[in-house]
Amino acid sequence: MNCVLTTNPTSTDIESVSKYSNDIYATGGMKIVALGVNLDLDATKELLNTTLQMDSWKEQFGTYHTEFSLQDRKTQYDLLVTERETYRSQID
Amino acid sequence: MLKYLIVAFVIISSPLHAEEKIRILNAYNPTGMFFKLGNHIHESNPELFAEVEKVESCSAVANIFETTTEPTIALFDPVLEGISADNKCRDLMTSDNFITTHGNAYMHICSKKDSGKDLDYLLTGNAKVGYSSSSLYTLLLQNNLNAVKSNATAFHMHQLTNTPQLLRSTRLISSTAQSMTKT
Repeated sequence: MNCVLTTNPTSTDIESVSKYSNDIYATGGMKIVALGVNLDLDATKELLNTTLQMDSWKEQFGTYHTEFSLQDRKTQYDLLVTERETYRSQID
Repeated sequence: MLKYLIVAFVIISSPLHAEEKIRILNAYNPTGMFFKLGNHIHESNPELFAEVEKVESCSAVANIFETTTEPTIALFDPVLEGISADNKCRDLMTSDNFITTHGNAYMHICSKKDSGKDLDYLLTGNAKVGYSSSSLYTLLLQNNLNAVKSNATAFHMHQLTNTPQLLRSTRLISSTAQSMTKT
């Protein structure tokens, strides 16, 4: 398996390429957002950010981006809404 | 030290009672990355965060959000749900419940080693790039390919076994492109 852009393909990736395609296969690219109710949203964001500094995070998710979490909530939210509206305009 | 100060701040500033833990809802694959991230949040502070709860769907999350009085977090896929046909999911993320983008997985683009398909082929050949998850993510893939000016076409992987259906989106969304660096 040769990942031309990134590394760490999973066994599922390899199986899928072998089964379905002789060409190129892609996976990942998801953003994982946390939504909440009955919480102080800003304080919870800071709390969640502390989990990104843990060794256990780096061990399990070392290849993930975490830089979005450093931005304030409004900046992050506005970016996601802009993306969402762009996708919607392409689908609808 | 900072961690404990923040934990104390959250406890003081939120309407939690001493016996309450923050619920973590996951509407996706019970062993997938959304679950794993939720589980990591739980394990990082099991006194504050309950174990991840599997819920049936994003709609079920929306229903819980509408009715619960408990402090609750849900892991949410803004691409998949943001363009879904289910209006409850489509508009679930609002400025009143958005906490943070907790993680962002790199998009991996791979080929078999013996196929001879490399980065140059991806960028300049007429490559077909299959994606096996939701077909909605094929749109994101095509946008990323366009952003790096690749001639490749994104397919939903399962289409490759039958009659391939080209994704016809050709617009460039540079702001959504993943970091595509050769490693």
